Amino acid sequence: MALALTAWQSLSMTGVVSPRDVPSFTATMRALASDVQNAELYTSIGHSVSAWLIGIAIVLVVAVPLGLLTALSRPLYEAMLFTVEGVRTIPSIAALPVLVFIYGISPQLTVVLVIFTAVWPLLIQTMAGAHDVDPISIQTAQVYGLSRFQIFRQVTLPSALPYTMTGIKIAANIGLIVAIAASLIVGGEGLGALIVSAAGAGRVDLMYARIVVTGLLGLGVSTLLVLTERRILRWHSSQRIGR
Amino acid sequence: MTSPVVLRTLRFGTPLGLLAFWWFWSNGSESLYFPPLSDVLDRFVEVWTGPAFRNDLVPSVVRFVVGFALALIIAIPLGTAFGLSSRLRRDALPLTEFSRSLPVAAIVPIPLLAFGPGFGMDVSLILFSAIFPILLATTDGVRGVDPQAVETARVYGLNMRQVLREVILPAAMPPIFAGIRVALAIGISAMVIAGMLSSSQGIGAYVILAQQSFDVLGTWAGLVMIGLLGIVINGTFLLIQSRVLAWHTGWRRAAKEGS
Amino acid sequence: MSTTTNKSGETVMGNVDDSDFHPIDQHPAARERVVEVSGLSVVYGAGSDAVHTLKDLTFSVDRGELLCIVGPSGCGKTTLLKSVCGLLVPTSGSVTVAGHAVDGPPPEVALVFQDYTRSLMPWKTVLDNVIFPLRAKRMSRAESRSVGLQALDQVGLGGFESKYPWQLSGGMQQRVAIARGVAYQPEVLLMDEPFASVDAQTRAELEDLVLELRRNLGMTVIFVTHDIDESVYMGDRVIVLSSRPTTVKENLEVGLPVPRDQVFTKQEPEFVRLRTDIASSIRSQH
Ligand SMILES: Nc1ncnc2c1ncn2[C@@H]1O[C@H](COP(=O)(O)OP(=O)(O)OP(=O)(O)O)[C@@H](O)[C@H]1O
Ligand SMILES: [Mg+2]
Repeated sequence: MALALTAWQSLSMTGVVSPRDVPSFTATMRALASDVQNAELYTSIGHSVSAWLIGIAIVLVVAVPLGLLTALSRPLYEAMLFTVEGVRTIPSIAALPVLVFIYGISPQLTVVLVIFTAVWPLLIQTMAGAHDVDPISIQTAQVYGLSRFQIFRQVTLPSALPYTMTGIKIAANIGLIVAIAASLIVGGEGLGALIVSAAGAGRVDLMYARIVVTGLLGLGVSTLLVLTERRILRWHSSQRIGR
Repeated sequence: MTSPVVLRTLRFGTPLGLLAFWWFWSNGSESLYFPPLSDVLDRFVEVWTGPAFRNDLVPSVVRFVVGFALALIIAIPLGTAFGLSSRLRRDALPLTEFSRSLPVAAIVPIPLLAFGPGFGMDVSLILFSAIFPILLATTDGVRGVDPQAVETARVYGLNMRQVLREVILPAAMPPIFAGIRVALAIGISAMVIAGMLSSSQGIGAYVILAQQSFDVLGTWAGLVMIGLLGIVINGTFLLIQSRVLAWHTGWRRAAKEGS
Repeated sequence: MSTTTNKSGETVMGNVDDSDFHPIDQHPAARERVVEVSGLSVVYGAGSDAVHTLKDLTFSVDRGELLCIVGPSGCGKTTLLKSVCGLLVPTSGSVTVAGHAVDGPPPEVALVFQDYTRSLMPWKTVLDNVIFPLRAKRMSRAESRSVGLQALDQVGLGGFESKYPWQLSGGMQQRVAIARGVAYQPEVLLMDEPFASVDAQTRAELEDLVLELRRNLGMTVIFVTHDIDESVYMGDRVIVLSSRPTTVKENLEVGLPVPRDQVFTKQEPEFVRLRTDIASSIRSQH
């Protein structure tokens, strides 16, 4: 890491690349230091993050129950399988122009885009989890006379949980990408638009500073998700041992 | 239990049914933003048999192929090295973690400034976004190779290069393919985003320009083409995967039934 | 008749009578040591976590001999074989194969692993699993193929060459692993509890298969097992290892006539005597 930063610094200092394209690390940090005192940075982060959070919350509420439901109904599973697999190969960002027609450049636009992006991976993971339950566990539960609902609660749910967690991680990460991409492409309020405005004003150092901020935001989100997953799955496996 | 025929009908019928529903529901639609699907398809044919084919579709596909090929060429050897050397892994991990969590969209301005809109920018963006999933999957795949398989090959006189080719890479192939699949999705998005931002050339540029000139049918025609591209690219990938990993499917099934 | 190996010269002299039964050993004076293990010690880990496995192990194996090694579970049998085939650098002591000190896998040695499911590559067909070492040595496709098919024939797997290992039963998979060892034409074949996870019937068949192959090919075999009957039935000589820290506890010549027979050999008084000796020797260390 230190090596990479040194490389970055010397690259622009020695003039291998022009400082107009790539500012030095120190220049970027200076710009960052001044930008963190800028209220606009925080409102922009707030816009991007809140649209992202709302979108992900809706996705969670829709995709997880729907995905789990496919464990109870084989016809539902079959009806959804190819449809979801097919739709998810379409890059959601392509819907952005059409969504701009409908919602204009607004917070709703970002929320809807996040939903369209994040819902498929979570749905697919949850469906996979709901169907990759060890048949022996289910048979054991059946032999011991558990009802269909009890089996769902005590066998299917816990074994689908790790899959769902993976799905949530993927959904949250790519949801954040499109949340930022939206304002970057069509403007409006958000971290993306802020990057573009720095570039438009010819402040390359500021642009880099804001890209670094975005990277840190992404890193923070994925770290948080990994920690959450660890917590939840630890609880999950300890439950298993206790049973 | 529902009969297999019904299940198969549901499996293939639902997507087709939804398409048919869209067709009839939008038929004669007066809505400004949801034009009849038949009109969209007419425009689709018109656009993509016209100059947009050469000016937008071909450049996008070429850039995607070049960028993705570069990602493969760089990520697989590098990931293999990471997988084999824990020191390298430890040294490079913070950097890869940071770069990986950079939302692709955020870095678009960098190549836009460095290369200007066009081939270099699109390729570097696709490369950057596709490289990390492949890199990480290869690293994990190589780390996960059963040491006994490697020992077997070494006792039977294979040198390190041969062990790599005969044992480590084939064994790591399933996770590598999983990584490639993720990378494909991100790479296609990057291709579209790059075009949308540079607004010069490419399928992303085509849709965003159509949108900005309130050409609703044109926008839809672009969206359908992007969807089609996604489906074709993924289908091709799945076809290759089923060839290369034919052994893996059978092996997994055998392992599952055996246990 | 038991004796330690550093006196193996005497062992040879003392068993001239027995060697009449061994077609390969007809000229005892010409016996040549192929594998020499001297003062071998292996310690895994360090400090308070250190696991002392082998401790100052010394023995040798003659050309054409089938040496069985028995010992309690976890005493270091696999560790010993790994040191002989150069997969493991011993903490101290040395191993020599065909006159060369081992530092890396020697070309004269092949190993059939304890866990065959993990040493057969699931992405290679049966034939490719057998011949990939030959291909790595730049043998032509056609030639390696004919060698491989012959080896598969020898282990009774003719016709299965284009199947994948996971399409075969456990016993058949172990045969593939043996065919790989045979096709490699090593001077020394190491086998690590090769039949531990197959059923009794298959086990008897595979034992006779190995005996027959080694008679036909004149290989030297080091055969690790935890089954006392198997060690006496298969071996020209049996080494009994103690529990950790592991030393050579017994070194017994097996004076049973060849070819061995699953029914009659096991009724010989010599067989019964040896298995009793070994069993009590193993029990006494607990
Ligand atoms: N890589 C390792 N690191 C630390 N300890 C090890 C390692 N490999 C083996 N051991 C320890 O060394 C001892 C000998 O192991 P080894 O596998 O050689 O025994 P073994 O005689 O082959 O046993 P078994 O009959 O069960 O196959 C065991 O106590 C084991 O726990
Ligand atoms: Mg062992």
